[in-house]
Amino acid sequence: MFDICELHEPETLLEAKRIFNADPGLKVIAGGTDVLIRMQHGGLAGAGLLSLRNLHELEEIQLLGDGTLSVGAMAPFAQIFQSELIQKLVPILGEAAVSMGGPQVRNVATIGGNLCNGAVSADSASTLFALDALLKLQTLDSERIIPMKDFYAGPGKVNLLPGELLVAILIPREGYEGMGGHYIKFAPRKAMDIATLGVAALCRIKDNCFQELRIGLGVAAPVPVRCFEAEAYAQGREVTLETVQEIARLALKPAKARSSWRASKEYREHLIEVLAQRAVAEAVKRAGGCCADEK
Amino acid sequence: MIGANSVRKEGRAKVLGTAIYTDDKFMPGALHGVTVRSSVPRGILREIVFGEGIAWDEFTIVTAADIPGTNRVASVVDDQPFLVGLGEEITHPEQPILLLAHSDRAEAERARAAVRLVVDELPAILDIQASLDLEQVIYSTDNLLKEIRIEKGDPAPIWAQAAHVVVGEYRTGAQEQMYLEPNAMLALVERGAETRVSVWGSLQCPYYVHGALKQLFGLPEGRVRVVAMEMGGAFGGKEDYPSVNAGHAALLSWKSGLPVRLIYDREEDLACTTKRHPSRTRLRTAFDAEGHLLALEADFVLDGGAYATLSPVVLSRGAVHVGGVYRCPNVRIHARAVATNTPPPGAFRGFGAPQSLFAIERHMDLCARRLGLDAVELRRRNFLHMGDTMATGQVIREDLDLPGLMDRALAEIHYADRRAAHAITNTESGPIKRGLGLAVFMHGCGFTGNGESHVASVAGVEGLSDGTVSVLAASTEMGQGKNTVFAQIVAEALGLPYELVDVACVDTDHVPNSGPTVASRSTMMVGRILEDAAIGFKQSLVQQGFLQEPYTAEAFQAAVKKAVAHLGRLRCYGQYHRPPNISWDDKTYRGDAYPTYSWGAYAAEVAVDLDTYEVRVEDFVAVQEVGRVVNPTLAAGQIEGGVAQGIGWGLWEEVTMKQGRMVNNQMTNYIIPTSADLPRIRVVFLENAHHAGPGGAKGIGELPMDGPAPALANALENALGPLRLDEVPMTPDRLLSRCEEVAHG
Repeated sequence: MFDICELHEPETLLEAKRIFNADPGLKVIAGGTDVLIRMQHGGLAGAGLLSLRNLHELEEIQLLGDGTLSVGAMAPFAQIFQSELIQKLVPILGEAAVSMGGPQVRNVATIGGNLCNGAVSADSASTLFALDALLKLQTLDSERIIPMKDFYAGPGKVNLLPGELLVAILIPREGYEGMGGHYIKFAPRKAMDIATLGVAALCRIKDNCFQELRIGLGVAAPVPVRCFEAEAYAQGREVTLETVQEIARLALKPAKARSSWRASKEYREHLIEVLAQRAVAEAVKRAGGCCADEK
Repeated sequence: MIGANSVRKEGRAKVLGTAIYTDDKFMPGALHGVTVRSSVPRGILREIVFGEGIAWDEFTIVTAADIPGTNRVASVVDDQPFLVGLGEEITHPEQPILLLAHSDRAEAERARAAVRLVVDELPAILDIQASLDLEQVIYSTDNLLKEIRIEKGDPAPIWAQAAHVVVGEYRTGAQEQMYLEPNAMLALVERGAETRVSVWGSLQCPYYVHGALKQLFGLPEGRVRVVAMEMGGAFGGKEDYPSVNAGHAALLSWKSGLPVRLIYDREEDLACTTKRHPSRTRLRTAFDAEGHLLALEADFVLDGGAYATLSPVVLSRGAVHVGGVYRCPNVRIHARAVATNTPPPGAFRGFGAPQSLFAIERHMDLCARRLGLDAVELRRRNFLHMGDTMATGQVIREDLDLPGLMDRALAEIHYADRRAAHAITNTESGPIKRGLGLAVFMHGCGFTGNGESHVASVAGVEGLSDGTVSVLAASTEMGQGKNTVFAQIVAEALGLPYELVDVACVDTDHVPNSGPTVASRSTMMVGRILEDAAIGFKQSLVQQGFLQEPYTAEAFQAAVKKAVAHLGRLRCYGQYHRPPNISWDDKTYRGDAYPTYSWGAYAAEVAVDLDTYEVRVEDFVAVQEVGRVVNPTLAAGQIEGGVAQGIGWGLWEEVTMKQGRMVNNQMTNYIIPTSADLPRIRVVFLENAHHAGPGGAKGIGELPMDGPAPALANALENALGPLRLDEVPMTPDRLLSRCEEVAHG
């Protein structure tokens, strides 16, 4: 039951921007795994759709001259997971990509769609948050590049201007270089499920001390969040089991867990702490560090 | 033929995509029907308001006032209306009020949203305790849909003198069948001097629907036709509900004069159609100093929803199974199905037995702990053997070997070795704790009590003009392999190659009433009737001189061709006859509750992550005795599927209700396990042919649903130590809170 009044399928980004500029009321559709479900439930009734599926120029994953990794907004999750560049430079993003849905969903769902949908459970969001990723947004006659934290406005809401499209996700060299990372998706079942919690941890270790730590959480608050207190605490400290435990405790600070029939507040908070600890411990290992008790 | 892995009869069409399901059936000019439902759990319907912006004159609209016959769905008790009329009481929040049909499905959906119901709301009863407490009287005078008492010996004097008395309370939640194909129905009513009602649908019990349509339209036998289409699963979920949606589709067709298609989407199907009954079981058991069971008292309560539907018979099966596989001289069972203002639950694989067996099998582990005995040993000391009597007084007449069944399961899972290993590894500091658990149980084959005698099923075989043989039965194919198994049984009885036997389309104009496709009865009960019919068919060919024994397949085929050419139609029927040594008294609940039982011993190994409280089932062994196995591949598939559903019920599947409505009515938030969440399920059959079934076969479909949940709970306790594991599903959230109970004393 799809109540669609018109469908635009431009072949180029320029054409897409022109169409969108002329009619900013259009609903942008990428892979369709969120938009079509909403429409099937009677949402967006009578919407006109602007489909980006023919914009193959937005599917590219490439390393720019300054070391920035650029991921096209229309890259599907299957492609992200399989990309050699991603496996080599930001394997944590590959982990997040492959945790999403099942094979069929990953073949069509795109990273740009995942972000623009604004869901707090988006598997790519907490990881990109932790990677300090930037979003490249374009209208017909303007371009801006903003950090992830400025993009999320509230549950299901993102800051896009009228006629504006997300064209690429930029991960600057400092975001990933020398970092070990780990993404944990926690969901009741092992596939085809929506995260109860997502934890992405990235760190750079030198002489077994945290040079830098970044933690992104999904489904812990109304929007994906970073754990700045925990990150600041880690700065310069030696990697020990106690340090990691304290980091996990502090990771709870930005969380605003609430009870729902999916999980109680108590259980969610318990999960944030234990999974933050696990994610950080694994990220440390991958960054070449070692928790004291494992020496 | 029996015992062979014959190729599935319907497999090819399914694989090639040529199988025709209800929604695939083309009928020119068909309208799309939708159902307008209440949204409040209880109240009096005052007014139906047709909103703005809809061209209502384009719609076919059916209300209760339109119904030509009786506005009651034919069932065990005829208490449920097809539609609630003005001034009548709404009794649950998904209650059908009004039916709409339009040629454009989107338009029909828009109109559904535009109808507003004016209802004087009444206070509702939403759970078992509120119903028992008579906070409101919503059904009869006592809120009871059915009450059963089973008595054997006298437990009263035992409690004071027994060495041990153990009390426990157990709860299980609702469960959705989650067949892939939602409920679907297509109806065509031809009105005239002789009104004729036909439906094509996804349904398990053609003659239930047939009876319901006769009553709804006030028509005689011959003017109602029900055809079972290819079915995408059912598991009991299409046992009684199709009587409702077939009636709705037919009413719309009757009023519009056009064919009407009524296809639920997933959300409507999950919210409105039947589920497994939620349950609460209180058990009290007494043991002597050696651990022999002396007395059992059970208070078994099911939440039956707003109408009786199948609750009386679900309750009956649950009550009979609550004593489990144990010998007990003194028994009191009090079973009640209570009314609540929720959509009526119904049949789901197991039919009351998984609920009561969860209670008794969990309770046995609790008793073992209290008695300081190993759970295996306690079971061994109390198992039923040949000559023992069950709670209803039924004497075990078969060569039952429960110790052998249990020992095989224990051996397969290396019970002793792995338990010893876990005892060491569980003391280490890591978050993963492992445990092994066991459940031993039975499942009664066929209907409870006099059910088979009441239905008096008929099935037959027909010779066709090409010399092949066709099976005539109303039993439906829902993925379980009925077509294959029936063809195997008939081929075996006739001594023919499997390819010469096929199964007729299930159409009430063409096939006799072999009863509903439920209760693990098709292979054993209908199969046995078919065996008789096939032998009769062969004998009549011989007696009439068309065939001489012994014969070859070619000679048989030639004889059938010749007989059909001479006689026109060549059919032979068989009918159910109660075996001579079986008796049942429905008033006292004494006697042979079932002609026989299938028996199982399941063992599970779990790993619990004490950081997240996630449970992973690492190994699962399912050992069962189901008489003789007709088709090993299909039988193993039945067991694996049932175990998967049982594990889902035990660990994940939770129907969340708010004000009597299911709120997680999507596949994305009602969590059934995927293959990634399940272990390899190791299936072992110990065969013990039983005289009542064809070639010695017993029932199999429901048995595997009974064992997994208690085996998992027992395994969890083995992993974590004494814990209040008295409720399924054992979600991580629930496990966390139960572990904290222990931590906080």
